[in-house]
Amino acid sequence: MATANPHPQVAGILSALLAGAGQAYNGQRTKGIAYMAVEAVFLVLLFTVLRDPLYGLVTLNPVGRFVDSRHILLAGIIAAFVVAIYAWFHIANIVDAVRTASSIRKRHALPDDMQRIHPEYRTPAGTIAPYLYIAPSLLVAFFVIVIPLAFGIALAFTNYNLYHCPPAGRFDWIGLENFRRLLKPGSLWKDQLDMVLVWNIVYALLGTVLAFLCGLALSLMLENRHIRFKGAFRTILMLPWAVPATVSIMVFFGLFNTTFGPINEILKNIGLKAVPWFQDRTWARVSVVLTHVWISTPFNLSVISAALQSIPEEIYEAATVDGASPWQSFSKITFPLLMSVVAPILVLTLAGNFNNFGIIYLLTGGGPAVAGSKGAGATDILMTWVYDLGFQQLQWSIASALAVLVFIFVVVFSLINFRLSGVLRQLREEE
Amino acid sequence: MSANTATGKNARKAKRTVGTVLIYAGLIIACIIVLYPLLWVLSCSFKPTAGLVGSSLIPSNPTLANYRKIFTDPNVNFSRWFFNTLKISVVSALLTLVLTTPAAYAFSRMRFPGRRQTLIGFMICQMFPGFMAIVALYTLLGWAGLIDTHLGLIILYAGGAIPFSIWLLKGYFDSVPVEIEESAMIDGATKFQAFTRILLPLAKPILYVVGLINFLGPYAEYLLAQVVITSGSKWTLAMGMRSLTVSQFATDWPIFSAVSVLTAVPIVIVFLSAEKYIVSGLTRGAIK
Repeated sequence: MATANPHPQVAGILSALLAGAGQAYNGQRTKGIAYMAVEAVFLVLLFTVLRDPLYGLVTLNPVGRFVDSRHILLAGIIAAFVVAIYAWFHIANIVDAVRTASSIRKRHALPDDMQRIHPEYRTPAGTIAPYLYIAPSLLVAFFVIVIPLAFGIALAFTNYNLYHCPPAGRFDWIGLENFRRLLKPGSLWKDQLDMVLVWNIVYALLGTVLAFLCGLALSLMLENRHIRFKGAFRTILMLPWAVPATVSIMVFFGLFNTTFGPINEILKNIGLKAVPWFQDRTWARVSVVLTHVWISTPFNLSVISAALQSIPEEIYEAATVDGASPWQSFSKITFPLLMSVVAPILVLTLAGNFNNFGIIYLLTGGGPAVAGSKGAGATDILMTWVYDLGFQQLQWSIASALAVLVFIFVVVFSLINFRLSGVLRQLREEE
Repeated sequence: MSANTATGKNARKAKRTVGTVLIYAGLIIACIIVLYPLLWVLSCSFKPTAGLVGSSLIPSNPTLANYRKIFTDPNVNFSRWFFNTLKISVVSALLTLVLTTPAAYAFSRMRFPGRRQTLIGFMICQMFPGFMAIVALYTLLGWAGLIDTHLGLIILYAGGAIPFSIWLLKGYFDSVPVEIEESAMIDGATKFQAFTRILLPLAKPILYVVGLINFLGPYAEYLLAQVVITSGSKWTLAMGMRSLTVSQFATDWPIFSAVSVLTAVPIVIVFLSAEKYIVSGLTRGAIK
């Protein structure tokens, strides 16, 4: 079957029909047999182990050993991924056959894309080597991250709730119904979503900006030439980062406590009124932001300090010689240079703070309650509300739909950031 | 004219002194804000359980009873919580390193189909709210028989840390010149030997940083722990502390404080002694 002058189209069609056939036609016999073996194994799997789960994924009906809707869905998703991975292999196999054939025709020893690759990887062992290095990570990440996330997304399109709750009940596909309920103008869900979303954005922005400003102020103070004991000041100021955040949050839970907390006692001692920290919606929000700033300032301080030290001294000297005032040299030199370095990190922390679950869950638990029946409290951000909807109210489907909305929000935001910071371009240039 | 410059100098000097004093004042106020919550908890841990804890930093009848209690009271099993937490954090940090170091090496030193897609995929995984995974993780752990086991929790921590750790390690490996490995390979070393004998020793700082970050993360993690672990004997520190803040709590506060102090002190020491490395490890990619 092998031919000295293979035709790319023929090779492609052969490989499309049977993986490896095109390769064999091109004269790569071992490769062709290996590819055929992969396809054979896949076809056997498809009609044995994978059949029931794939059927279950489409219908969500009990099938074979799978009775619990969650198990049906999960097995179906794993099977679908196996199919997708094979599909990727099959397409790569077609592309490979076409390229090999055309490069043989052009009397090139190797296909174009192989020319770019280091000679070492032209051997079969060299081609597989990188995949062996990444296989353990990929395998674990596949089961701990990828499959569970796909499952979470899938739940958003089902009616998994208190009334359709396995193992007793079963849930079904309901399409976009959850999203329709969440986004329908005027509905109770939409009102709650708006309230939570607005506070979520305010919290993320306020927390990030305030912590940044505190970090900036402190690092500028520490940079000052006339200040002594810098090491001691720095160590003390870094402490909130060193203490595990969970511990700090629980400590603030005590500090703000209205029966025994010292903050109210101090306020009373200096002649002010006690504050209903966790009972009043505004004060609860203030307590959350204050705790956040206390915990995150050191991170900002250290990043800003590192950035400040990377600005060369000569620029300031030149500015001073030219008669710039301290304020001018700050606003015209330090700040712009600092922002160009710190901005990507700042955007990344903003995205992280958007989902900063721990502070709100452990400090206020989302409370105090707000009139309305969907359970979102005054300090609930999307993630704590989602958590509550899932674990407390067993509204898993609508909770998952909300989580998908959060994800879309964060991805759009982060993609802009990556575009700005050039991560994607850098990756492309590396290859 | 000389008198003028002199007064000018004096004025500038005075202005500078005022500025310096203001900066000292600012720094001291910041230090007080930072230290008060920490010192308050420390002092609460020495306050008797009966009385009100109050705002003072110096306990009137200091006592070690709380510390004695957390090592003897079966309901506040500090040593067990601590041992569980230590085991989980150390093992998951090591597991993360073992899984991600070879992968980061491949991403940094090799070019292969799917490389860029996988790295971007890892980045996108980081943006998903972790909550979405919980139902599936619980089901998967159930299938594997790992509900209410430390191994289950360790796998979740190590797995969740993979994308972030690979990015961090890859960034560092990229900054180590490839020529050293190449010359070793000319001398007959295999690719794998170049990785283990040349690159890994050079990359020790980042290995420590990634290990440390993945130790500190699980050390006080609460959410996943609370989903996976149910029986009290397997509780972690965060779960134990949470149980003290939500149950009958005004009286439990000194006990909680003692647990917090003993939980935080080892981490504070570790963190402060390694702070320089952590900061440079985290910011290396961003600040060049």
